[in-house]
Amino acid sequence: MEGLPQIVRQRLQAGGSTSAHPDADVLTAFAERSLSVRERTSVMAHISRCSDCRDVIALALPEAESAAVAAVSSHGWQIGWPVFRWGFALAGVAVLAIGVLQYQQHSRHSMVAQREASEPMAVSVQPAAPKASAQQAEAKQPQHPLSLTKVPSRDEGKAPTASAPSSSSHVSSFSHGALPGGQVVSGPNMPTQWQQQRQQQIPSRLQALGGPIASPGAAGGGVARTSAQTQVAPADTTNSRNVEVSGGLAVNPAPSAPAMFDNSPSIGKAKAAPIQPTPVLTAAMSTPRWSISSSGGLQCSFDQGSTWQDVDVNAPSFRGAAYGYARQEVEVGKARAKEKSSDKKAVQNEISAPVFRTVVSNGADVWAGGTSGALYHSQDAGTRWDQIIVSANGVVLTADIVGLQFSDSLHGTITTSISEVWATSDGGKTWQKQ
Amino acid sequence: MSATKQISAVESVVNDLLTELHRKAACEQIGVTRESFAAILCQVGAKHCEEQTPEQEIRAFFTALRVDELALARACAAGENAAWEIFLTRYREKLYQSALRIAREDSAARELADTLYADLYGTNLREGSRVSKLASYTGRGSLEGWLRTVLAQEYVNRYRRTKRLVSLDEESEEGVQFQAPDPEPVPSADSRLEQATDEAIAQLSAEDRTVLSAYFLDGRTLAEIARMLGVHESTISRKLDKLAKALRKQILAGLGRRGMSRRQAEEAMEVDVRDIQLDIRRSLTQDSAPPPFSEERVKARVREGSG
Repeated sequence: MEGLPQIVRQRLQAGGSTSAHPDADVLTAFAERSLSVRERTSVMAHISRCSDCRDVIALALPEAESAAVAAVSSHGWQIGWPVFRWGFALAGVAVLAIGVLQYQQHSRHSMVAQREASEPMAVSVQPAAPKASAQQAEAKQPQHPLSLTKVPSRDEGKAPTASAPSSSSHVSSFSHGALPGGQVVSGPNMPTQWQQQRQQQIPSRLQALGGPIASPGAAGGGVARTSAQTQVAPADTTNSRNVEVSGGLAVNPAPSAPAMFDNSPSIGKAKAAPIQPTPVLTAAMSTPRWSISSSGGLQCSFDQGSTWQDVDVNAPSFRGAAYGYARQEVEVGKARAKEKSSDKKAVQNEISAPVFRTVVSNGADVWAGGTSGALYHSQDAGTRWDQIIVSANGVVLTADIVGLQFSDSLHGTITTSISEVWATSDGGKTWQKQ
Repeated sequence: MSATKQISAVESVVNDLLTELHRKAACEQIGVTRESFAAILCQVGAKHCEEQTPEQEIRAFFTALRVDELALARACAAGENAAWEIFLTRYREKLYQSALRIAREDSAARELADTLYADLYGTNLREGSRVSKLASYTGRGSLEGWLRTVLAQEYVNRYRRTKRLVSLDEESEEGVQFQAPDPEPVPSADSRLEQATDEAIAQLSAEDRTVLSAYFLDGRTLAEIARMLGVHESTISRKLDKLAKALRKQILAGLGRRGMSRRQAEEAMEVDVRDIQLDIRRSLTQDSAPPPFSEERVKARVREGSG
């Protein structure tokens, strides 16, 4: 901290206040930030010169909130923390699940790779994977016969009778041991074009090999079923040779599909799991009551007012931190705020938590207004908050918001401490000053 | 004439909002009738609103008022037992805690709180009736905050002098006493420095000046100042840094304009610190403090209210 030249201290001290001290009432309202701008200015002018009143305000600061402002933000953390913790735990589970599946995938690939150590053609199909759209599938078609022909030829070369049992046992060890002698059908979640194409091609190729196979329909059905579940194929229809075939397929179209689709369902599942508890929470918290504390903090109660929780509208998300998008929304709001009012005051208010004066709710629609034009809106009962910058024709609302009225989710009015009335008829997107 | 017009404007707004405010204030349990509540509101409104206050602003003023706490305080002042019961349940403990935090010492805290209780209950008799300090509460801020403020005022009035003496004693124990005891003040080496400084200070906004004074003169912490002004601590820290730099620069520039070379100006600004410290000590020990928060004003207001 830069020191202050002694002469400055001296001259600051010298200019004492001459005006009468403000009433206790007014000083209290000053500290609680509930004065109109005009009054606040005059009180500020007084206390800038009156050490007694500065002392009174400082001594009369409320307890418990040592570093009140910091505490406000840490409130958000306290609320957010359990949510974060869940988020971390679930993220961990998701990562683990992906890891396990990829390991499976990898081991199967390496197994296959072992079997076809010098098989470049299979690799050539891999880039096709990600967006297996119809066009791409068609574009790949010329390649498939190639890879398919190669694979069987490899199988042929490797004496299927020997390799088949070993590979199937190898695979089943990674297939959760779900089925005794469980066999893996590897090309799971393929687009139908691929399946059809494969079903058409497989028989001919395999027949060309002279190998006994199950009917294409059965194989396709097996594939379809496994793609929906894990990669464990029902051990009903196929024999070891059939497994060998599908194992071969894993290398051909599979490098495209499994690499991608094996993971995506697993991500989907891991993601679906964390989200499941949330609807329960939301249901329990569906009708909170809202209030403003004496220090201007926003509070809500999920038990009809018995206990109150502080709500930090700047927190990434009040009880939905698992949703990544909440933070984005808030940041968008902040960016907007910065754009619109670059003056220092606005930036200050943005850093500190807003001091609220009034809150209204209509179902899940909650509006909270406070000092210096702070207006926050939540459409989901307080999970996410958007700061609304109220402006009309380039004029921005900067006064304290002391009253809010919303007849429905679209139509509402704001009353400010300097008696402006602002109205919206589109849920806060645009405002008219009256 | 315009004053009467204003009062009637307040009255019309009060009449307009009375039903809603009366309901909001939950007056019935504490024995405040609709009529007496209207009178209280009119009195509060008349005190706040000036001649040209537009009706909308009056309306906003009443809407923002903490009418429930106002009704409670006034009911207590009027001696309603039900109101006192509520008041004591809600605030008794808090009041002692606040006093302890302000006085930082148990016996002083007790004395402070007891004094306030006496004032609140109204030991001062005027024309045979008690005058409670609660009658001066107007609902602008929270009642709890008001109680703390009143405690703090009381403390500043009563204990400030003692505190100052103590701190000076402590200071002398720390070795500052080796200074010459209060010599004739060295007239500031150069009145140009004072002028340039005053000029720079005069350009400060009230808020900037408050922040500077609270930090450098009152010795408040960043956190305290932040809470006083309702902004974030880091804002205060940045502001102080910026202000100190800007002031230094402006004073240097001012001295330059007054014909000093850069080096002279810098030297002048780093004037012997002890001279100024002595100066501050003198001003601290002088009885130059502004008049204390006067009981008179409270009484005057009460008179105004009942009249």
